[in-house]
Amino acid sequence: MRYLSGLDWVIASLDRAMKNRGSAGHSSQIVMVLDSIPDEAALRAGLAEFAGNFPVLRGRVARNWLNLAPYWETTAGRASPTLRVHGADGPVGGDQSALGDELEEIANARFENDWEHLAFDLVRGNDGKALFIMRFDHRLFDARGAGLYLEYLGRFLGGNRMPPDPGPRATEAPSGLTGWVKKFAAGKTVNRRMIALSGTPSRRLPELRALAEPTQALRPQRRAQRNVAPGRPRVMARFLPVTFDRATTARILDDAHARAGALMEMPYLLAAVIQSVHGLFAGKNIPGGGYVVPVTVDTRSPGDPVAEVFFNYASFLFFQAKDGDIPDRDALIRTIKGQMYDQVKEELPAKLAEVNYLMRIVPLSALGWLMNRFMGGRTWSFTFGYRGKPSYTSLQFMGAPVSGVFHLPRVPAPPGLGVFFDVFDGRMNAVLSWHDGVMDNGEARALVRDIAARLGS
Amino acid sequence: MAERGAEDVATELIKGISPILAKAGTRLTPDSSLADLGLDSFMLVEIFVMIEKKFGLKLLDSGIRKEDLETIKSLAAYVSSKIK
Repeated sequence: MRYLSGLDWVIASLDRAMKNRGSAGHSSQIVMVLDSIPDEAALRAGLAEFAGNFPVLRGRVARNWLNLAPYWETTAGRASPTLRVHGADGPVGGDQSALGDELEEIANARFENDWEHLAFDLVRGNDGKALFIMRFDHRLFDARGAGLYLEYLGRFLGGNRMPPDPGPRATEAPSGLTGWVKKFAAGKTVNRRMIALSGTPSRRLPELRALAEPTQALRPQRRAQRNVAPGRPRVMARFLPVTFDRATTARILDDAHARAGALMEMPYLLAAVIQSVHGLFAGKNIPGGGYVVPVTVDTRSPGDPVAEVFFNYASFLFFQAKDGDIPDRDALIRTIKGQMYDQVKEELPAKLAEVNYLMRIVPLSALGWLMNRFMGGRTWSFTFGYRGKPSYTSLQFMGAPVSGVFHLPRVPAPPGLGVFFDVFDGRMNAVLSWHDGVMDNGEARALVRDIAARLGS
Repeated sequence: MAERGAEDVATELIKGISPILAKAGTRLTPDSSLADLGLDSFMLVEIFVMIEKKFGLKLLDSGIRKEDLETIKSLAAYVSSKIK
């Protein structure tokens, strides 16, 4: 039986909360820019054939009522991910920031039902190029796992007809119902850290009225209703992607190494983003004394990616920047690095993963409330991610050259705002992700421009 | 003498780095490339914490360069130079 980890349960809780608030749930996208348009029929057949090797794709969250531990319940039948094909009015191979409307329409689509966790879209541009988009449910994939699935899919479609063996962890995982002393001891460390973070009031964007007041139609009367909402979701996820060319990326990385240290791109990027977000929040007169930002860290076993394609393997570090820390970028970088060191030294990510197991006894309907209480009613200012080493790396997909790959991560609300970076083929991508309404288009563009201006300078 | 010190340091580093970076069953050597093992900023900080525990050195703001992180041998040479 594949029991869910504490993180899997937290993700399931976020998915439920996001759907209750009118969004499509906790799903994200990987967008691949192809320099030619793949054969639709071959693609459709290949997607179904590849997916058929993984029964885990036909599953859903369930609870074992004997021990109250949640698990992944699979059903008979082969997964057959949908492929929707669209024709764009213009080119798709150029500036990704011009593709916002097209990408958002796809990103905000809902899965058909609670058994569907993966879907694809092919957007044909009038420039002979295409976007191939994988939309994935975070209950079954984290970002790295989704990239790995895409990598193995690409190899399969490219002629290596042996799908990877996902290994036992796709279908078996222990219940985690032992080691309670260790879990509660871990809770003390986590609690101490959360108390320290709550000392200074952190700024966050105001919650939308729409998020706080779900309509009658969206109240979960039945499970089926909760997961299949008619029409367009009320909460739109918005995205603004930017790709830096190779020369600019090299300049950014050189500046990161010079100012933050070797391999310290994450603290460097986070410092720049905090400064830029501070400008946005100050412009909106949002009260507070600083910012608290969670950053995901991958906790996969080193060197064995195939066994961990499915489900979630991440934990978090939490960074705090008080107003006085912000103006001096180098001092801010040092503060971030110091916090990273302290949290790694106290093994916070591993202890948080242990503590999350304690959350599994709580029903999904109550978990969101409990997590909020744990945080003292405070939420994060924004979310942040940086992946310097992508899990998708191939430069060809079904014979088409791959000129770009970037993620469009959806952020839960609150905080309703996130900034994410990754690197593909020597080029850095930055994506601003936000909930429609927490800021306007002009503010979003200004924020991205400000972040870009700070990098490499 | 310094050469011998670096070898001993490399041996200790291999013991400490293996659980952080190495796939189970993989044997690291002084010539193992840290980049090829997937080293990122989080893992680097884990290694720095391990070095502090083993050698009493804090390397986070020491000015360590990218070249010092190429292999376990180069890292050992750097650590060895910092041990007084």
